[in-house]
Amino acid sequence: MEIAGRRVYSISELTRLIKQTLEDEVGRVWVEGEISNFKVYSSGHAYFSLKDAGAQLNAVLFAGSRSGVAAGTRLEDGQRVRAYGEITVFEGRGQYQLIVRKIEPLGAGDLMQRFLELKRKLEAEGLFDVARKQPLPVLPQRIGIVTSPTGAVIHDMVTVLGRRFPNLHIRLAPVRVQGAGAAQEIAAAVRLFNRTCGPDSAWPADLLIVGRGGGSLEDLWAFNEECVARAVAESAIPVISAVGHDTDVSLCDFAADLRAPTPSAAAEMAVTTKQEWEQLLAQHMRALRQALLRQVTALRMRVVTARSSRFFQQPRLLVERRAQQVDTLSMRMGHAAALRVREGRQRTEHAHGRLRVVRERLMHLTRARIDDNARRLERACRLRLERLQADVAGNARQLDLLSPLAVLDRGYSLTRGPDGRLVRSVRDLSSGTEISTQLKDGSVASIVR
Amino acid sequence: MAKNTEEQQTLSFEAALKRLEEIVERMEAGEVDLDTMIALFEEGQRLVKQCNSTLNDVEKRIEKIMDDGKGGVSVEPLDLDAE
Repeated sequence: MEIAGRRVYSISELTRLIKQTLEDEVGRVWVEGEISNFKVYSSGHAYFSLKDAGAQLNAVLFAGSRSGVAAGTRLEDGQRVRAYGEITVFEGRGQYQLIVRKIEPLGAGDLMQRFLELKRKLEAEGLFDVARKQPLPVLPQRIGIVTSPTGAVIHDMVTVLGRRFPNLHIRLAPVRVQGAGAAQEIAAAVRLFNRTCGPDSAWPADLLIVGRGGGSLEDLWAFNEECVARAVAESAIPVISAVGHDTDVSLCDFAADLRAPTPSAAAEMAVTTKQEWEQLLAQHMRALRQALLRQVTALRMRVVTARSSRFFQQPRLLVERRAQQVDTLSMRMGHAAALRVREGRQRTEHAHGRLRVVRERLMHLTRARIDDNARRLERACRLRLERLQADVAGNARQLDLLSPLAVLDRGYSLTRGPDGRLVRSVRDLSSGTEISTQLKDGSVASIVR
Repeated sequence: MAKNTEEQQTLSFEAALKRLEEIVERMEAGEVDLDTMIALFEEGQRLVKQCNSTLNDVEKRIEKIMDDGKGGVSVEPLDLDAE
C-alpha cells in the first residue's frame, strides 16, 4: 500500500516481513546461554529464556522435542546450555523466539567429569561395596525387567530367557531409557518392583534385570544418574545391570549385584537352563538307585558266600572234626592212666587190686566227661547253625523284597514296626504291636493279634 | 515320619537340592546299614520329585506392570510384537 509516496504496512504484513527476514537470514542456529524463567505448561511445552550478560532470547521447547534434550542436561534456571533450533516470530505477540530442537549442557567433557565425580561420591558412601552385593537366586522363576518396551533389547531378553527356561513368569516395567526424565522413570520402576513384588507379596520377584542397548555416553547417561544408582543399590530384590555394550560402564553397573556385558548376556547369566536342572536331577536319581543296588548286591554276595561255605554244605563236618579231637584227647588220657597204673603195679604189687578199682573209676569218669563234652559241643554247633540258617533265610527274604527295586509291584510288601524300622522277624513283634505295611500303591496300618 | 514329610514340602528348591546332594554323598560312601539306606533312598526320591515339580511350578507369562498411583501395580499382558 502506497499513501502519498509512503510505503505503509499493516502490522500483520510487517510482522510477516520480519518473520520472513529472520527466518531467511538467521534460520537455524546454535546459541549458548544461561536458562532463566524456566516453566513447563500442562501441555508439556517448556518456556524459558536464554541469556548472557548483555541480552536475552525467548525460547520454547515443545513436548515433542523432548528427545532432543541431551542426557545430563538439567533444565532449570541458572544452567548453562548450548541450544540448537530455528529463530522464528510468534506473530500474535510480536516476539521473536528460538524453537529449541536440541539442547545440551555446556562444556566439553562435562559428562565424563560428572560421571567420575558422582562415582567417587557414591563409592565413598559405600554404595558399591562388595559386602552389599546379594547372591543371585539359584532358580529364578519370576523375573522383573526394567527397560524400554520397544526395540530389540526387551525382545532379545525375552527370547533368550524363553529359550533357556520355557516357563518363566516375566514382568516388564516399561521406561524410557534416555532423555530427560528417563533416570527418574528407571529409579521409580526399580522401587515399584521392590514395593509391590517383595518376598511377602503375591508375586515375589526373584530377580530384576535393569538395562538398555548400546549408545553414546549421552545416550546411556540415565544409568549414570544418582537416583538410578541409589534405587539399584537399595533394591532388596537382586539386580543384574546390563547397560550398553561390553565396553560401557555405568554407575548402575557398579551399584547392581551383578554386571552383565549386554542385555542378552544378562538373560543368559540370570537363569540356568531347565534342561541342565533336569539332567542334574536325573543324575542324582541314578546315583541313588546305584548306591542302593550296590548295597543290596554286597549283602547278597555275603549270603551266597555264607551258604556255600563247607560247614553249611555239610554241617556234620563241624561236629566230626570236634569229635575227632575228643577221641584223640580221650586216647591220650587213657594212655596216661594206663602208664600210671603200670608204674603203680611195679611199685606196689599189693596195691594192685585197689589201683584196678581206681583205674576203673578213673576210666569211667573220663569217659563220662568226654561224652558230656561231646554232647555240649554238638548242641552248641547245632544252635549256631540254626541261627545262621535263620539269618540266611531272613537276608534272602529281604533281598527278594528289595531287588529288583520295583518289588512292590509284584505284590510284595514292606512291613514296618511303630518305630518305622523294617520288621524282619515275628520275634520283633508281639500282640498289640502296630505295624504299617507298604504295598505298591500305598500303605495300610494294622495291629498284630 | 509325617513331620519329616511336611518339612520337606516347605524346603526351597535350593535347600532341597542341597539335602539331595548330601544324601547322594552319604549313600555313595556306603557306610550306612540297610534300614538307613532305604530311608535315605526314599527321602532322596521324594526330593528329586519335589525339585522336578518346582521346575514346572510357574506358568509361562509375559506381562507389563505400571504404577497404579495408589501404591499398587496394574498388570496387563505384554504383546511384544504390538509394542
